[in-house]
Amino acid sequence: MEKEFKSKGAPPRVTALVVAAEARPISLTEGGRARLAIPIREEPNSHRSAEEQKVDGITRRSAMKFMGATMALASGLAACVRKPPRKVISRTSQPEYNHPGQALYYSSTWTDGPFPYGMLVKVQDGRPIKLDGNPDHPINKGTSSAAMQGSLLSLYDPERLRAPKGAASWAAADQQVRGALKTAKKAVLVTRATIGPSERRAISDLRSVYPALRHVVYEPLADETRRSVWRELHGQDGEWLPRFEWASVVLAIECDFLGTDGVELESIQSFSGTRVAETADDTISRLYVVEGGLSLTGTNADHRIRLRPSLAASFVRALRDAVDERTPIDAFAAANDLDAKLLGALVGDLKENRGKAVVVAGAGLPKAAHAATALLNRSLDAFNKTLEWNPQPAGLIANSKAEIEALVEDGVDVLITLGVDVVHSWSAFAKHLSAAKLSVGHGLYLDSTLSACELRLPSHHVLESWNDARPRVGIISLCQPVIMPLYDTRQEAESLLAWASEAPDAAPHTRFRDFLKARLEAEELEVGPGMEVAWETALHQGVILGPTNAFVPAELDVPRAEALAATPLQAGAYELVLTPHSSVWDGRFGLNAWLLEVPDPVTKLMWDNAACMSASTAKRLSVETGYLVKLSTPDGSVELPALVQPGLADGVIMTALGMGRAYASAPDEVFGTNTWPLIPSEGRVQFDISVSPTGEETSLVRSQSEFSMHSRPIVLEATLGEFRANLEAIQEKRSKEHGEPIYEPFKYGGGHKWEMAIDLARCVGCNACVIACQAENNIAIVGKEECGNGREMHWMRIDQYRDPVSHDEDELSFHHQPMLCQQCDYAPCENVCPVNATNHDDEGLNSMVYNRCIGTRYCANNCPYKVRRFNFFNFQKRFVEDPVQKLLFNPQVTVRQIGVMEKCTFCVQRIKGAEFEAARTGSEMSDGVVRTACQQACPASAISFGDVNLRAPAGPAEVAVKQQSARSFLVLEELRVRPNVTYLARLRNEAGEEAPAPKKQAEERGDE
Amino acid sequence: MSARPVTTEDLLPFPLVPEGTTAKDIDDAVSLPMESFPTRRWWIAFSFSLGLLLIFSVNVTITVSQGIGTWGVNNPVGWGFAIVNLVFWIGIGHAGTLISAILFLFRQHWRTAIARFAEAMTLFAVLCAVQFPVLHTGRPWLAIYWMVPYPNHNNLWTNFRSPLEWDVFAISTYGTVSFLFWFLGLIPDLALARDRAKHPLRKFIYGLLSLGWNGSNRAWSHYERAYGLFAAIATPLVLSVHSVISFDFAASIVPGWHTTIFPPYFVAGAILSGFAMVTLVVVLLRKMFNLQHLVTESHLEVMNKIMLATALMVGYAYASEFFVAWYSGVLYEKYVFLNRAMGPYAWGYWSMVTCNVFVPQLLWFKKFRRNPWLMVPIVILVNVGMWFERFVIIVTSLHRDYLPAAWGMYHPTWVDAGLLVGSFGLFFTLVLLFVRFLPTIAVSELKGAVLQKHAGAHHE
Amino acid sequence: MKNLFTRRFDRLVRLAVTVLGGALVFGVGFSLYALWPSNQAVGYEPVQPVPFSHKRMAGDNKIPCLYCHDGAERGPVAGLPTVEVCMNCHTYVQPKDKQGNLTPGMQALFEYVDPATNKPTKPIVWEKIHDLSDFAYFDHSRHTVGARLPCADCHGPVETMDQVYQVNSLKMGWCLDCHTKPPEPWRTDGRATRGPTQCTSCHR
Repeated sequence: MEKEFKSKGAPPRVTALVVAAEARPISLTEGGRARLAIPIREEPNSHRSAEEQKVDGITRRSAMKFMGATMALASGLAACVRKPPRKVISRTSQPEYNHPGQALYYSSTWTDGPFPYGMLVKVQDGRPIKLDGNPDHPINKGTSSAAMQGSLLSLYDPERLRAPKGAASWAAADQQVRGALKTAKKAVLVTRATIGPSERRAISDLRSVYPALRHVVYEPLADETRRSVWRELHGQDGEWLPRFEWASVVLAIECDFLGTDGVELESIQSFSGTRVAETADDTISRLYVVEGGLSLTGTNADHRIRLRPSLAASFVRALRDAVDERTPIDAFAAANDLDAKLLGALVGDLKENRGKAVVVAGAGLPKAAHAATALLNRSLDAFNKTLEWNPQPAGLIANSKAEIEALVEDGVDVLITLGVDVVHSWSAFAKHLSAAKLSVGHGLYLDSTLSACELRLPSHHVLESWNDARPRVGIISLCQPVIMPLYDTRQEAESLLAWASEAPDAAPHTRFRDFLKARLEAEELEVGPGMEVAWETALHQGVILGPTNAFVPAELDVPRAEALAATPLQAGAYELVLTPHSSVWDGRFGLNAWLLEVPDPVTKLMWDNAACMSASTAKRLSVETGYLVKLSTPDGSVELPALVQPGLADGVIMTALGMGRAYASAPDEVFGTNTWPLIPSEGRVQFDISVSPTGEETSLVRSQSEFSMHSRPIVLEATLGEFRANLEAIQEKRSKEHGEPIYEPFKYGGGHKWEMAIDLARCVGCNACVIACQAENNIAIVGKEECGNGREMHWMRIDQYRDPVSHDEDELSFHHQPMLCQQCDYAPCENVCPVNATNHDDEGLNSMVYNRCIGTRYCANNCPYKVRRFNFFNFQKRFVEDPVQKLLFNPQVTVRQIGVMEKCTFCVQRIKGAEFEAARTGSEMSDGVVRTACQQACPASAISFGDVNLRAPAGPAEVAVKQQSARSFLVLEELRVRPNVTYLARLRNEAGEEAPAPKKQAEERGDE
Repeated sequence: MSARPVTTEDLLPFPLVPEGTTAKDIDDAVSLPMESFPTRRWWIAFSFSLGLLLIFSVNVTITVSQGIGTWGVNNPVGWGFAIVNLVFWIGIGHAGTLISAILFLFRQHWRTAIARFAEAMTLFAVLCAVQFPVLHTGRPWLAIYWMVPYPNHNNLWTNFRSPLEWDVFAISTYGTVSFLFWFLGLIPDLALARDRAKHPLRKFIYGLLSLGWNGSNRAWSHYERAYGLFAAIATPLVLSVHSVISFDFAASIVPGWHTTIFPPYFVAGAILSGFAMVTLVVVLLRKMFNLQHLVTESHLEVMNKIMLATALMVGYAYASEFFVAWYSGVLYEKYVFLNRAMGPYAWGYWSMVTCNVFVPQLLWFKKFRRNPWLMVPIVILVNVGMWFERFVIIVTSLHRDYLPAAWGMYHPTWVDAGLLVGSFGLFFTLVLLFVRFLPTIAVSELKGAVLQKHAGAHHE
Repeated sequence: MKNLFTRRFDRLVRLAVTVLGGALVFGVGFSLYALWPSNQAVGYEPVQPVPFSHKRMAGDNKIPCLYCHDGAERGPVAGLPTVEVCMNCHTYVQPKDKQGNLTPGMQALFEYVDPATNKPTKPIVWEKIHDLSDFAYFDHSRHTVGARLPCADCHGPVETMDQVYQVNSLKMGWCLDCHTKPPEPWRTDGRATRGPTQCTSCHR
């Protein structure tokens, strides 16, 4: 069966039928004890209580063995140190496919996030322990994002709402809701925008039962402004999807398409694919970023132009005029003292690359900017070439606050929120909830919305839910439960069905599955071989692919667009750019410790957000990092710490939304500042705000304090021109190693030799690898305070370096460098450990034996890359002791105790797993059979890992090939520690050098 | 070749004791603190140091129960106060062995008056020192025996390539030898104490400790031989111990640590701080127990001269470090030293230089060398400076090493401070108990010198 | 002057010192022996909730180990038989004693089974005997399939035990003995030359 379903690149997966069976003994409510007895890896405690010692009395045999007084004494002593006896619990009956200690994989869909990605869930001994992308999913193709990885943590979050509150039971709650809905004159149902077709169907069914019920979509960060412009100009709903793989010139205006704007996993894949050059006739795309803030995309730009967002629209108009050769750009450049030469080059590139250029404008910008951009794209002949029309966006059209306000202000009888924390982002909504006769909140936590509701209903986590999603036209993505509900919860859709019909819920947790199945059968699946097979196959693959022929929208309404683009706007002294938080998005992940602790890729802030401003703006305001400033917009005002972030446009303040959420149980434990009060009714950019220092100070926690490379050979870089002129450009920049090792170098047996290569040309610096590593390797959360003390535990960090490009300290170019244990051949850490706790492995790994470590921290001192992490406290205590949280741990990795050192192991558990598997089946290990967690997650496929000794036909391994690249280099090579991680240099595609020829991409496109 | 045999006196830079001091005077003077009830001064000092010792034990408890996290150490800076204190205390210990062993072999008889203090101090200092390496490990309950190579069921051995492992041997050897040497020297004086003791219990205990010493020629000749032997064994240790300690740094690749000058540099520093500490303790004790006539200004002067010399050596080391950093042309070395002098911890660096190099220059003046109350501030400052030397070496090298992205700062906590202060409590408590219960001056040797002196006088 | 101590007392002191010294040495050596882990685990024989005799099952009835511990050749964990597996046979084979009532073993088993339907009702909670530390990752299949070692090499003659007890210490040193120099038979029949001795093989 498993074999049958095995699909290339993906581990064997099984289908939902199995889940139901196998998941049974898993919920805490039923047979939970059996499951809790599964040993969680942890160091055995060295001390033992008296009663524990009593447990192992001397048995018959040992009594015989220990004849005589001394022997008895011996056993007595022995009894004091023998570890406490443990129980083993056998199952009553063996679930299909399920073998203790062996993992199963299920494909599903991540419906939590702003965009539904395909998900592959690793389940061991009945508990999900790792999320990854579903390789069969056409959009994220097996890659995953930090937020997606993090969703595993929230499954086991002890703060989850565990049972309905405000009603005795689910039945009672349903009764109450149905009653209220029946009598209601006006009822409102609030949902997120990204809900699946089946959920939408369930809602319409419910509305047909209760005509008084209105459905509104609350999605504060929805792409609504941009989408509405397109709707208006094309006369139909839909969205333009940028196709970066076909673009040789990309211009992003206030648009963080590599970070928080759009379908980032897809964008990163397609964009970074165009950034790699190996030979002299290779070419790469050129990225211009024009922004007032500083986005992750901006840090990856070949050229950044700092421009206040208020000028975005006029800039694009000027650009269009220049491209259409009406008026040259110089006038605009002069008027706003921009680098005319650079703008000229930009115009040149755009002109030369009609049909191969794309311009993307940020979702936060006002309508004028989007209209202007549409016109520019038209002039550039981008439509249906580098832009693809998708008539079915993943999300519903979101209602504006104004619309919702209008609907609910004069009181409603029933107000229901489904899986969305409205109050956090819109505090005024709380009073509408309290005003309603019956307010129902359906959610994961007792958050600010649920606390304001009368009826508080706990939702399933996505890993406990059935669902489907339509990320894009022609794709249906299925979501199946991989664990029985941990608590007495119910998924929102299940509730909708329960409210729609009086019929008692016969089969709990399967009602919506049947609904979903019925709908698919009716509409999506072509039931050739019989429904069951089709359904199982669909669940196994996780996606149902329909026809994806190109859709061409109605022609752009040019006069209308020009009118819209010309809308004037007033700008004041300070402008505000509000961005979604890099990992907690609009706040929906704002209670996830992994995502709060991971450093922001741009600012390196942990557990916090701040008012970022350029150095000169800071001077003008005479504030420094950590000073509190008060931001005021017409909508409200907020006090938060300032952060001097070189690179922003002058007079622009940038800050992240989504922070400042708290559990109802611990309202004071707020991290960051809730900046939602600043957000206007629509649009996330404010053109006239007031900023005033309050005179107070606070401290910000950042994972990195020094951003200059001090001209050390850490990140090497060349311009494309330089590289094409001289392929040795990078090799010549490499530092030469000198000195001889004191000790005899380690002798390898010639077996496997595991090495890694990281392509900095592909890496964009998103945090997917960091969190993937944290999830895979049971890495501890240390909390804000300890982060401040420099004790974060991330095995993988992303170092950021900044180079000045001009005298202006705000004109910078950026480098991202994933830094992890380099597994040196001559590892300095190995010589200095007094107890041999870290030493070399004959497959090239620098092994770290936690249970031997006494924690002298000498190895960490002696590590030139400072990638070793020390357990200064018993960070894991909370998780190990909590019966729910400890289910999170990956049983293949030891949970580290206080006082031991740890570091990246190249996911040795995966290596050994694969090796044992090969030994068991007597098969050869092919390249790619071992993939590290970071590699698997990386949306840019920047990381290659493998056995460099792999010979043909299986070899050479991808990593071995990459090591031969002309761009390869080692960090701190002259230290002669022989790192086993090779980096491939990034190439900057500077304007003025020969314009990029899109030959390759064009061919590729032909193949499509 | 002169007719008259060379006497001790000829080897003396100055008379050991004032004219006309008889053996009895010496006996009385030295035995007084043991026989008379402790003075108020003693009690005050003792209760004060007990207080500090309490602080120490409290902070030890905190550290072991809650973890190293209670300290200031963090990711770039893996070693903090603990290792600073270790090196500091081991350094203090050096003067003892130097005085008792090396000066003995060189027949520097003036040493007799202070040798006993110095040796005792060595022991106590080593005792303070060893607290820290054990404490600073993440899992001390394992560290104390996993560091020792012993056959075990894991077939695992310690890593003999690790400088920390070398420390285990270096320090333990040093401690053992110093103790035996010190105890051996004590035996005749313990016998004296036994013979003078009135109270039967005292008599009994001193009796046991003096191992039935009867002062026979045979006993004396054995004693002398053994003493010489131990001096010979102890001598290389003076150089080895701190050299090995310095390997902890020299054998690493951390810029600012990885340098060949460390062994001599550390030894010189150790002797400087050691003598500073001896001088301090001696000045206080001779005042407390009126031993001015046995431990004279001349003694202090000689010690100060040695301090001056070692201070110059240390100063030279500081200078050459900078030169080498510049001359090597190594990016990272250069930066580390610039960062020491100008970086966020510059205050530490400059207080080190001031205390260790500039302040001792006062000792060029005889007045400062001979007047106890003028030298006390100097020796205190020198000890402060030597502590800062280790702080600078350890912290400033670690907090900014190779990858700027990993740079950080080190902020000590109250627990760090408590342990540092508390360790002085441990030290002084032991010193005070020592002066209360054991002869603080090598009576027998001193008498020997005195009698010889008289013998020499008869020749005229 | 008269001696402070009598000759007898002196002898006494010397004796005392010798004895104390000896006691110290003995004490250390002895506790080392006593605490030596291989002297603790070996022979550990807890009483199991179900008086199940491996002697009868594996010995007399010659039921292969893998019938119940089927994980041993499939993955890291050998696994324990589910109650269902017991009932595969005991639905039909239900030994009785002379009085004609079920043997204690059967009675115990039926506490976990619904006698009417012979369907399992609750899992059996066994006492763990061969208990490796959680930080040691042992993989059965690597040894049974990979190195083709018989179960008995580590678990001893289980088929002769009424109640199973631990035969080998299962300590790291014990593992390494074979990994470094496998016993003669294995080498001669080319089963196992030597096992891995790197930390990563067992510690992750």
